[in-house]
Amino acid sequence: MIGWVSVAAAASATMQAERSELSEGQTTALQLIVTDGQVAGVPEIRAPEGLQIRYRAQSVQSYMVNFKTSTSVVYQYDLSALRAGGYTVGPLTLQSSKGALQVPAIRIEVRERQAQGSLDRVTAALPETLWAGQVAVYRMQFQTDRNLVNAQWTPPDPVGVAPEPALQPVTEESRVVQDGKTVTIEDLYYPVRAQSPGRHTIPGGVLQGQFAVVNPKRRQPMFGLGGFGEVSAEIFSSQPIPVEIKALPPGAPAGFAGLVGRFTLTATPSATTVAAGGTVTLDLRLKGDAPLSGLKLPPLEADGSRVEGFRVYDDQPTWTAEWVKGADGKAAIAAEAVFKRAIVPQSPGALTVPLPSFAYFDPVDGAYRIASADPITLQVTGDAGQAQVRSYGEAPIPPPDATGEDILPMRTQVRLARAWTGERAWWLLLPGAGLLLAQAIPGLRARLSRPSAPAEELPRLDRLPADPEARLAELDRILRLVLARRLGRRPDEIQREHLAALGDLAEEALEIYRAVEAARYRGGGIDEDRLRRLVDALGAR
Amino acid sequence: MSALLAIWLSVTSLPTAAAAPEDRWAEAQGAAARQDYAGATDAYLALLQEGVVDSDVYYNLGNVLYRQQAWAGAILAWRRAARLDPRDPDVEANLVFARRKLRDATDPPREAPWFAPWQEFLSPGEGQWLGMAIAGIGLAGLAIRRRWPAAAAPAAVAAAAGLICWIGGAADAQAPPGAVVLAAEARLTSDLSGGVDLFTLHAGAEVRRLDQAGDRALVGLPDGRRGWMDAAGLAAADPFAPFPADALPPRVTPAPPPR
Repeated sequence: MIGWVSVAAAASATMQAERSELSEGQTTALQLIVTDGQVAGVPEIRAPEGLQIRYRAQSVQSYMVNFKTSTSVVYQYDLSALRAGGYTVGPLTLQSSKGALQVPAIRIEVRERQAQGSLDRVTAALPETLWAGQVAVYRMQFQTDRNLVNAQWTPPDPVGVAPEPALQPVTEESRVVQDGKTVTIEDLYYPVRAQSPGRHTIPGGVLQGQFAVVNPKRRQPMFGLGGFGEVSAEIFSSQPIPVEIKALPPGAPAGFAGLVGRFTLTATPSATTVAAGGTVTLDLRLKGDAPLSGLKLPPLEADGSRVEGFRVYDDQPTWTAEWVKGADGKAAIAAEAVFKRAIVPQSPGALTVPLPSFAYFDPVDGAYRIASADPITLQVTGDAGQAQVRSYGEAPIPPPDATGEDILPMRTQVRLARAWTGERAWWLLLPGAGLLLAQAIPGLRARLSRPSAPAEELPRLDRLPADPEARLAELDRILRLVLARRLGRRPDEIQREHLAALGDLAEEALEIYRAVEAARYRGGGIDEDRLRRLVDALGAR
Repeated sequence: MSALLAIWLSVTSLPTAAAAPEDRWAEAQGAAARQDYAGATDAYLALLQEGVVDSDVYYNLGNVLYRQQAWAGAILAWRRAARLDPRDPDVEANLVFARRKLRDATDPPREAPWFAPWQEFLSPGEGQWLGMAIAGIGLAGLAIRRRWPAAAAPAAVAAAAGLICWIGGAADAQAPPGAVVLAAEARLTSDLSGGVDLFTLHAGAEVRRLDQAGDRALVGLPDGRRGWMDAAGLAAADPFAPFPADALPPRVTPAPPPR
């Protein structure tokens, strides 16, 4: 169905629904098309009772006809049928950049739901009577025996009530077996605060459910692992609820700040015995079934601080509100306001601290009540110096040097020096860091990493083997060991040129080294006494 | 004649040489010995202004301020001395003694970072130098670990310990130092822009400066209490900060001679 209106040659608007005949719970696409005109924001299409229209997205289309370019903005909506009947959507008047655009109405027919799940049902509940200011829980419940994959709630438009901002709505899911079928039950708890006295009808809330579609022709997934299965979406709405909101009766007690609910007050002191000038902290907690956000502790006096016998300091209060399971098993509200009040007694003796009270209206009894706690009596001692909690500004000033003691004398002989700061402490890191970095330089790394000469015990020259060849080999080994130890090298890497590092023994060592080499390669003997003297000389240094 | 005038001008226009620290120290000591505590105060302050930030200077400055019954100034000076030399028992003894003069019985706030309790006994500079020295030795040991493998593990431990020690000292230096209330009476409120009066502190009370916004400072006490006060009534125990004039005793200004 298409409606066209053109108010100017250059701009036009139209509205069209993909289907004009629906069943209860079905959703179809609704488009609002604005051609060659600009509309500020998203146009709002008001839905009649029994339908729901929700904006989804928008797109822009450009096309050319007879060498003339046109641009259309398409606003897309979801139109859901909530109840059977005939409905008219529109007409609309849009304010565009080229003047007002008239959009004609369209007609939608909704048939009764074609039953798919025999146990599908949606209900809503709210107390029939509320007092102005009372916080109540609007409860929607949806139950189905089909495979509910996802449920999206839309609370009702608040009429006569307002959503309670201190607490977010909460949902619960549970399952029961009914007539041999597993029934899924979805609950929505939505806190509202009664506002306008009078009789109101709260429209129904909406639930969009997505159900898994069973396709008998489709092959069952392997190992029971489902992939991306098919789902179908349906819309359900709850019935409207009549509610009467009563104005609070006259005769509110003094100090009544609009609390409606049932509340209790408890007071706990941090100590019951305190020194004069010490501090006792009173923990005051007001608990009830309605959020207490913004509630302040009433001052003891108008000026707020000094009363007879003690001083009072109030801390910032804290407020909490949460969902708890009520006595009937349903979600209920539990709220608490915590006040901290510091009491500083001024003089010794028994001190009775008056406690604040809170006036509230009890919606169950329909009468005003007072939440109060018994006064607290503190035992105030005169031993101010022994108080566990230090006092500030109240301790008496002792006379100067009453004890006859004095400070330690001044310093005379000192070495004045500028204080150390740690700004240049990293200098001390430089040597070690430098050595560590030097590991990256191959030559230096080799020197740093070279293992030391083996700490092998020097063989004894007086226990040489008798066999000439073995004797010569042992003398060669002893000479190399002594030289290696002296030169910091391994015995097997000792070469002639290394001997120059021996200083005044270099020449003698070189001659003996040559003699040993000559004896090993050309045969013959060596002067053992000369070698012995060299070994002694190298070992002694 | 003009030459003589030029010489005279050049001589008289030479800048006056600043007094040596030792001379200034002797001047201060002499004034204190004559019980000219105001003169001694000026001399010690001059030493500090010339960059001689020394714990002994602060210690003696605290003593002469104490003699002038400037309790808050004395505590501030000793707190700064303790910041430079935390192990000085004389400073601690004088602080304990002076705290008895105060109206507020507050505990002194802890200075050391929670993860570096040894900083209670080290100045921030000492902590950093000590940490770097230990870490430097550790790095040197790591550099020669192949030559002496047995030194590798102790060297790694030393390097890590040194770095932690240095971090403790650096954190101590960066942390907001303690502060001393200089105002005769400071009302601490619950809120930056006012709020309720929480408690009152008096001159000499030692606190920690936790935050500052404009001319208001958030201070904390060791028992967990916090409150906002005028920042002008507070002086940091940072020895490198200028010594505030509000911490000094009032001077009697001589009346101008009658005309």
